[in-house]
Amino acid sequence: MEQRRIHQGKWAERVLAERLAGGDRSALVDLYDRYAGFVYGLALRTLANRQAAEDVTQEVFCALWENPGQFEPGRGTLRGFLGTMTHRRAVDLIRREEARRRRESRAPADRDGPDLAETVARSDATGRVRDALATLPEAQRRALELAYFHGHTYRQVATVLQIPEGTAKSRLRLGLQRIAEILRPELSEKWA
Amino acid sequence: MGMNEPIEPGGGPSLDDLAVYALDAHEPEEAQAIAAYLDQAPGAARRERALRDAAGEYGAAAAPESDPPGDLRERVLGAARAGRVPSPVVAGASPIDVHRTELSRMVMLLADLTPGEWGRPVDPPEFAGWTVHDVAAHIAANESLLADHLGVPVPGVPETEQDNIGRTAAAQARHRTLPPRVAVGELELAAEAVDTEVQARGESRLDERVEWWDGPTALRVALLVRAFETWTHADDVRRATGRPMVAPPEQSLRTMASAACGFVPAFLAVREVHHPGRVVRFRFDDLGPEAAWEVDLGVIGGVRPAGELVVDTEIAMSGLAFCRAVSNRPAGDNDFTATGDSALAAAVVDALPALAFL
Repeated sequence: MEQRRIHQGKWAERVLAERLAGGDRSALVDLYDRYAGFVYGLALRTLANRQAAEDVTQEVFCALWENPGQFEPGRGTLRGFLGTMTHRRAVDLIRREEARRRRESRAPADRDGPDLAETVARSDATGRVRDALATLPEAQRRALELAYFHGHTYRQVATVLQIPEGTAKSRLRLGLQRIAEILRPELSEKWA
Repeated sequence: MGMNEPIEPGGGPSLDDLAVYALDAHEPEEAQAIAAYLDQAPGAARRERALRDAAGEYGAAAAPESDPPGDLRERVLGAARAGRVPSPVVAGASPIDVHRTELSRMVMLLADLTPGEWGRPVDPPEFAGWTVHDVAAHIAANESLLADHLGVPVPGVPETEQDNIGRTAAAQARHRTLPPRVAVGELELAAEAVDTEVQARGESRLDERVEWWDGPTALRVALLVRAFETWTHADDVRRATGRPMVAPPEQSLRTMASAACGFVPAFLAVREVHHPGRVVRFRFDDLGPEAAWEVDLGVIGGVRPAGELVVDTEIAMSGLAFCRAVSNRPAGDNDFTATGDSALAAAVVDALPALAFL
């Protein structure tokens, strides 16, 4: 599936959000048809399991349809919001599975699949965030990937990368901060 | 301030901790403590939201889209509708809602196009040589024209032509030198300007006249013409890019179909077919209950609910097919059944695309 360029206007998304809030069944269809590939793709990338990805996809769309007021158009994009919902549910699943494996004293499953650099390289090269990712130091990119796509806590990130926990936190913060500043340049003066 | 120190004078998490929290990468007990703090610290909560939005965009940027299994769509839609029943469709939508729905759909469609799709040719014969980009420029030009006439011009749009053809030609020439996102941005700005203005005016002012291509026109008509045209061209873009065509919502189709019925006398006049005093009833079998309207073929705009006039012929057909015929676009199913004067019915159906060139 060829990657899409996303225009960052807000009005069209606000109209969709209002149609969802009004219970317009065609808005639910529009929402699914536009974002299912993204939500499912993100869930699949994170979980590496098709059935689990399908379950998360269903949960995400049902949750937004049942409580459309969760999304506030002025605060971010619908795509970013759905990404957050998807990620949170996927990480919850990963951690429940890891906890179950620990209880059963089983070794953690190997997570096959492409690493972030390979994924970014395959993705469409346009987009400010993708450009920002390409300029991040490898140490920050790797930390973000472990936390976001593997559901690791910062302590687990530190263990995998063999760095102090404080360093793991800093790398995560620096990478995420850079992305936030790409989205909202005025933030660069306001972190302190 | 160091990034490991609390971000607020009274304590609380550091910026490092907020970032880790935004990534859902804390241990559960730590996450609970931060959540409790953020509930009472709006400044910190704002920073966390910025970081969480960034985390969402990171996920959006880094994960490739993937086609879900085909049966997942119906499972998800069915589960969602079971959790919250959609609002019933009880009547036609307001022209304001019809306009904003179709314009916002077009904006999102265009925003999703890949770079390679912008140069694809569109198939309507009257647009020979046009690409998807040209269609976007055309729609943006017409929407910005309506915005001009409503007194809410779009900043930065240089075209001043007041006719469809001239304005389109000028806009297309300009946009061919610009990235496609500029056309999308102009369309969205124009649509938002129109939408904001008409919502402020309200339903009670929809019969006010606005300057249009061929003279003063009721605002409700201008909005419906814009919606009709935008939907038609959105499907042109979908066909050009291999996407399935999409019908307007049922409530919008009811409004569009009933309005188009009022123009049937004009369609016939363009074809120099005159039947003054004759009455046609349209019955649309896919637009819900009481989706039937009667038209005196001697009176442009004289559409009435079914049952008020003595009818010479009744035409039963799909409302969607009717609207696509008015747009002179493929419907797949243009079948209709006629009772009464079948020759009159055939002449009426044949004339439906007469004004599609507009």
